[in-house]
Amino acid sequence: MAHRKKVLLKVIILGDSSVGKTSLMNQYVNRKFSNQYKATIGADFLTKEVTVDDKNVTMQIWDTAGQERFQSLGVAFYRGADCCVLVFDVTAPNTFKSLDSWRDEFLIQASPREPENFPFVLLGNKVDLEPRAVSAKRAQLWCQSKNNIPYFETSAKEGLNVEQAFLQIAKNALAQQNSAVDLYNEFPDQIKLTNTQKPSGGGDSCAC
Amino acid sequence: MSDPGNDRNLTSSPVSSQSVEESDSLLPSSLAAEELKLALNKEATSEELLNAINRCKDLVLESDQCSVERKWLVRHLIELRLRLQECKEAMEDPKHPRNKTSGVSRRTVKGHHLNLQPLLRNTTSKYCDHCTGTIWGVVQAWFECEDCGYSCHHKCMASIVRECAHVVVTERGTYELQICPENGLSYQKYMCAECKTPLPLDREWSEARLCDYSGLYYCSACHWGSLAVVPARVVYNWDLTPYPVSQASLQEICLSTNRPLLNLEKLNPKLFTLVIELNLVKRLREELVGMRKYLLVCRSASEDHLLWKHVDTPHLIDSVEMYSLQDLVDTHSGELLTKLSNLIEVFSKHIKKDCKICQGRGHICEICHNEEILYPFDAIAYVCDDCKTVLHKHCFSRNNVNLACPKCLRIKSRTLLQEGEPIKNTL
Repeated sequence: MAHRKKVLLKVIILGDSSVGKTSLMNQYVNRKFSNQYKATIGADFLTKEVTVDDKNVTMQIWDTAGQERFQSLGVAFYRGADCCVLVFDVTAPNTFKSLDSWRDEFLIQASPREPENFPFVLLGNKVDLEPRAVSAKRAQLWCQSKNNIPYFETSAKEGLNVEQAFLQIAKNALAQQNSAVDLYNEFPDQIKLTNTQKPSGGGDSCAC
Repeated sequence: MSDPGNDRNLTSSPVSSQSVEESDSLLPSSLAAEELKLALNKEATSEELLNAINRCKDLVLESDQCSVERKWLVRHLIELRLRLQECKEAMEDPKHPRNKTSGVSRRTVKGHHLNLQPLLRNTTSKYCDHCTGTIWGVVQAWFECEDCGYSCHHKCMASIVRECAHVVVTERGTYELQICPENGLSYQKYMCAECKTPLPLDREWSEARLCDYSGLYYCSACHWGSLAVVPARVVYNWDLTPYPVSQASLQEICLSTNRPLLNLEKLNPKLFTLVIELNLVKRLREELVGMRKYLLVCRSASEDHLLWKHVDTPHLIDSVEMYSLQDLVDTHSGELLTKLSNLIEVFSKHIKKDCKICQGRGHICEICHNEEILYPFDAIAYVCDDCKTVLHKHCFSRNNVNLACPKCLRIKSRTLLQEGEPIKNTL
């Protein structure tokens, strides 16, 4: 099925504060990194044009506030999301523990059609830092328990794996959107209201 | 070809001489080019005057005998010489207002920053705040305070008794909020509260005038019977009729009308239930304060300077409590209501229609899952005090017997789970 319309993929990045959500997005979209920490207020988004499976799509990446005090500015952006990216800091075990809460919260707020099959992607960020507190195996185990979520180990600082991770995110998001479109197409053949058999001749079509 | 307009004055035709006779003091048009050299403006220095006198002499010699020009020039020469004499006297007398080098053109008396006013400043019936006499702007040197507008003659400057209203208002920081706190004339020892003129009561007719703002008695020189809206009467009685106040009080009230000094919520909260307009204003301000939070953190709104462009009185949207006297007057007239609803229209257009970021920062009621975006400043919204979740008011009250926020319940159960089984939870 060819999409003539421009495809917009809405991606939400979630995770505890200071795990590197904004940095990951900035590295991916602007190829920039800053060591300075600046808390995101509410939410903000950047867009990027990408080509997935020979298709041009626009990714609208919503970066969110991890700090609870900034979440008073709402979460309406969860609606209509095509993919959710969960981020934790591999050197901070607490950020890994709260992944469950972020996932639950997303599913409740976004209320997607099929919660079990909604595409999530897990990113373990800051792999350039030592010491490591969450092993890759532990993260993969968690992913398996959640219906095989894809897992990437990234470093926003070094730009490691960021491109690959977001490409996977775009693919999963696109697949999710297509399945949603298919859902509408399951209806039986539509009755076309425009009369194609109407004679094209310029004459008077009136029978009398 | 010669210009007929120029010819008219050079040739002394009967028509032109007649017209000049009527406007005797006017500069003949043939001399217009010399205007600057002849020092016609009144602020000229002695050096300029000397040059002008010499120039004038030359011109007199150049002009035709008995011509209009010569007549005018001679008259002007005399005037210039008189002015030069005056100027010389001024330079010798350090107290003379025209003496700029002595720094007298700017003086500080009783907190007033008095500036010498140009003689020709067009003023319509200005009165001296000290002696109440008319200030004849063209003839008399007079001063005006740049802070409070106090104006007086040069001769009155030394005996000013009134403190600068700007200083008084800034030091006190608030209004007198007792309604006419009058203590009687005996309390003032039968003297005017400002200039200490005796105000005897033993005569049949007393000159003592009561100021409704300060509650003090004044003489007729310090209380001109001017009317002003008195803040205490507005706050406690919603009485916006102007009352007679002393000149000092009038200046104080005028200076602080636009300052947000009145915390109505603290002073008289009942007012909001009794005055419908005020209640409406309060509701609109609450909405605006909520919108301001969105606009402050929105990058596209700050790029457009949306807040600065449309708000001339920032205190109205900074908080909901503080009102200026002008706000209350405008509330009564209905002006403030229109102003605030216009602001709301502009702001909500940005937040709810134009800006994707602001829309994303809105809420969706998680009880009814309606697609319509809900904002904490909306009238139909309920905001949880603890987790700041926003729900429809009616959804919240309908689905809850014990009025608990669903997100708070989730957070609670999660922490319980984490505390109970810290190891298992990580898997």
